Amino acid sequence: MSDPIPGERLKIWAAAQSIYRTMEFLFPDAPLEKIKPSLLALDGISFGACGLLFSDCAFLRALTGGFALPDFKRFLCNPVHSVECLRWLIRVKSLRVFCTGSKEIRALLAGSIEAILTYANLHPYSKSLLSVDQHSTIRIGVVNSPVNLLVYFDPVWGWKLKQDSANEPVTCSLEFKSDQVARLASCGQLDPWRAVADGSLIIGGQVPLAEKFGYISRIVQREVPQPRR
Amino acid sequence: MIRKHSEEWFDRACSVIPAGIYGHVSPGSSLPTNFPFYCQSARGARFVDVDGNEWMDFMCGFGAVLHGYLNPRIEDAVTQQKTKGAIFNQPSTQMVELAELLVERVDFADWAVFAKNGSDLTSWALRVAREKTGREYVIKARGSYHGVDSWCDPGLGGRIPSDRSHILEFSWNDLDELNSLISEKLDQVAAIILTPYHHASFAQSELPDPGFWTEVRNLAHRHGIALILDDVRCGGRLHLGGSHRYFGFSPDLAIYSKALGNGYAISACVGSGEFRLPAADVFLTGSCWNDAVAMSAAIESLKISADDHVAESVLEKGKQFCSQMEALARSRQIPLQMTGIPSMPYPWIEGDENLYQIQALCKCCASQGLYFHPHHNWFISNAMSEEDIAASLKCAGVAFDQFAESLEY
Repeated sequence: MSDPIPGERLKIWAAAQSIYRTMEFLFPDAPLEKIKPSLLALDGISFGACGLLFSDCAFLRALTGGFALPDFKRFLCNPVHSVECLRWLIRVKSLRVFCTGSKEIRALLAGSIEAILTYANLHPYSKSLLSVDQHSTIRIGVVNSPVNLLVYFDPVWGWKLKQDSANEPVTCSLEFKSDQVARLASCGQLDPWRAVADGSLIIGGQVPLAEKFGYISRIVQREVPQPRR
Repeated sequence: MIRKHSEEWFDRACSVIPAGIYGHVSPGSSLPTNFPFYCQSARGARFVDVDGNEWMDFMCGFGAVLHGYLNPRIEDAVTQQKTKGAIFNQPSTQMVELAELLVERVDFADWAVFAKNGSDLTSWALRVAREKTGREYVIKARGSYHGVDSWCDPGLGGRIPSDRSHILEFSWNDLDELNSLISEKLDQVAAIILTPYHHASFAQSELPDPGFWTEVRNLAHRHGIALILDDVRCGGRLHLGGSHRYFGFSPDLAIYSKALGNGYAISACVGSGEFRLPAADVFLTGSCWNDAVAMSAAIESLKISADDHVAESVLEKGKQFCSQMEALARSRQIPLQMTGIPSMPYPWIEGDENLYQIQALCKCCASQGLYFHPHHNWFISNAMSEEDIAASLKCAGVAFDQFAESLEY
């Protein structure tokens, strides 16, 4: 499992992981190693080994809709790669607005779950909440749709996410009534209590586990900046 | 079941109340999707929701009602007291009468104090134990519920690490683990707080193993630890004189609430003589805690419990109901077990560790007007007649058929 990340930088790392996971689900054939994020020791986040580099501050500004420049020197060293990387990032950012098909919904959902899992693995309180659930699995999907994701615990990597194709029994499940509801949830615009009450979100199985997952998702929603256009 | 008005009220609630409905009855806690959100009225063993659907009730206001909704004797006592008032500057004489009644009824009790909810007094009782012993640690059973305070609440938010830094847990019935905890914190444990049996949510109920309570009592005595019985949920449903009598032991302090006032908010803590002075030194008050109306209801409720042998009655009704429920299920190859004590059974389907089946079963039962909770122990009301039980079983049979059919597809 990864080393602890200082609290203030965890939100940056969770946002970067979320973007990367969205990209992975959306463009499985893309050169993912070129855009894989890594957190630099003291300040900065890099997409790809020699691609775009943002300071923590600039990355936060870029996410929240402000104007932010990547590191100029790094940009000039490899302009083609940097521009390509920037294009990928802009595509992910625009997904929140123009997302329509199941593939896009799945990618968006995967991205938002990845931020939650980053907290489940690295945020001390969130990690402690799930420490007794390491044999559990959570299915997150959309009713009558190919959007079907599985959260599970890997002893080496911690909590992970994958496309659920086996449809095996799970400890608990969270199913959105439609792609639209899943999109709202991914963008942090769904009132979970109202959604459960009106059937937009169906929770089944071990409810306490679903409650923990939901609680961590609200911490993430509060702390991790959502990409805005 | 029509749920139009429930949904409209919930929608309004969401604008002005966090989560719309909070706590254990929140729709977010995944009750069956055909359960109502709001109630309109109740009488006897039935209630009517805001859409006019009538339900056969097996939750009794989550245990707060033992003698049935709007029990005539209790309502008369309440009406009489209301003509005089409820809250005054000083306590009413009902407080003394109620304390006398509890001290007479509960064999180990030499005194009683009152509040409104179980939590008020479970937390206060820990402080009394700390005052008496001068120690810090408290031992509880893992997964047990003792209220909404930060040392024990089952929620996730608003916690800081120190909230539970002095709370130790052991698995119910695991005396070795309990012994280890006491040894590890030798002379540092103030109290062991336990329910009469383990009635955790989301899990089958567990009765104490033979000798469990004797050993817990001995351990507490040997190490100078206060034994606190949280009888909030079971009180009045197992034994007239308190649930410790049902299991044959004697605690130092016991807390009652829920059924004590048959729906009127009141809780009580009783204690043995050696805890009287520490109890006097631990501050306890609330503006409405001396409520004479709730105390009148409690006095009458305790009298009914004695006059009508209510604990024996609900145990017997529960026994009949549970055995027939299991038989109905068995005949449809549903491995349903009614675990725990028959007057407050917890339904468990063998092999259903992740609870999907019990959730589906309770949903089918709800469609037949049966308020069966999938994750919490049920409560048998003493207002439930033989006819009510027969009618409920008939509806359950239809629901079980629906459920069995759904499993085939």
